[in-house]
Amino acid sequence: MAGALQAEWEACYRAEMPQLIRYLMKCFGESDMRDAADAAQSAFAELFAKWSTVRSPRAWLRTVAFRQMLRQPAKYPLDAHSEPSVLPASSALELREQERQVLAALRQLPLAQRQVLALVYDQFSCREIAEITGKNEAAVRKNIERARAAMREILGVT
Amino acid sequence: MGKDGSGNHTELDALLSAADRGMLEAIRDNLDLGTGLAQILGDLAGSTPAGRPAGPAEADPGGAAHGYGHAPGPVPAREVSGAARKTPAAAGQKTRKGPRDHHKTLTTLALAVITALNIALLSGLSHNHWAVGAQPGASTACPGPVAGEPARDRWPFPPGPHQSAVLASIVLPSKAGGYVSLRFAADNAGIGGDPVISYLKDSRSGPVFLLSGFPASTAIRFLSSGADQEYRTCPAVSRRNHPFPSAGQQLSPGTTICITGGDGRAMLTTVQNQPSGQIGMTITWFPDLM
Repeated sequence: MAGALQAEWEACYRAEMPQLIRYLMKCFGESDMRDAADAAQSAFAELFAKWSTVRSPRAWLRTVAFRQMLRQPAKYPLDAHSEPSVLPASSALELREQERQVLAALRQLPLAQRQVLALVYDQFSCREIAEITGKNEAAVRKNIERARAAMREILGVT
Repeated sequence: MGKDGSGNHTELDALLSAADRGMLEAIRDNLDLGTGLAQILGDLAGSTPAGRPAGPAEADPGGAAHGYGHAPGPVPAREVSGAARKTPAAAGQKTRKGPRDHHKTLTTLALAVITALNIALLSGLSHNHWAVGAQPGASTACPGPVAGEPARDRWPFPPGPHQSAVLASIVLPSKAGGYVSLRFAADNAGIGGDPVISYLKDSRSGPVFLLSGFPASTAIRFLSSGADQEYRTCPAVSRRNHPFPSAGQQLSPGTTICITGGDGRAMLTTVQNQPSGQIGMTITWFPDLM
């Protein structure tokens, strides 16, 4: 039984780990892949212990890993004279121009809009996004629309 | 495109989906899931994941494609071998891991010190002024509910859109976490900008915070002016919103301001420990009550 459960969890890890890192990188443009990978790894370790109670691992992982990213200490001193920006998200990855362009556009959006947009493209419904973000569905829809409008304008597409 | 998405954003969807696929590919190329798995399983050696509840499981947000109740299917070969995170070269994992682990240990220690300072300051303040953590709807001790986890009685506040979140209490000079928390609150409330908190130790009215970086159109309102009245250096309690000063806003201890954005509000309260004079700030985000 224990072996079967571990296999379930491993399957979840293999399928979701890269997607979870991508989600975090899209949300937290300031971070590079190492931060996102650390937060994702930490979330999976927690999931391992809670496997019996977590019924929707994909949603749960995104909530927990997102909070983990917020809890990580600031890399730069909180000083008016320090540079506010940090490493680009793609610093540790070899990304194509198109992907860099999309990440750069995402970085211009407020965090809440980046988050809902990332979740939309991770195939979550508005109801699920509302559950993950702790907002109501109307607020989620509004944020999605704003995010799409902003992205269309920034990227110059329809 | 998401499950609820319409088909009105064809070009944007195509671009974002293509970028998503490319990112995923790049991440997979830089990731070694085998070692990542081994790290977790090694750390938790001897333990096994607790059993999933029997009976029909709650619908998975990801749909049937992500049911993990079955044995894993075939895994691409590149995911099975290699190191956990292939940075920047394939070899030398142990050599690279050392400094990072050392850095992590230092970070953990630093966070522990910050947390201890926060607790000490806030508990001191609760005796001197008020219990910061007891603001309506706010909780630092009890994290919010986690999506995908069954609701439990232990959450003192019901999950949902009306929750607020105390994001950080910043104790200077230990300021780690404050920047991210302020950005998160500002972004979530739809305020935007690139807010920064600075600590002015030797201002005319003693140690104060300087809040800057919000857009000029941002509306702020003073809910309490704290020590401002004593020194007469800052605005008194206001009944209306005021535009955010371009030079930034000084906040003396005991000041509470509310900043309103398109999606909610961020409330910032500065607090001071009476014996030590140390000041800190709590940042609370309230979503729109739609």
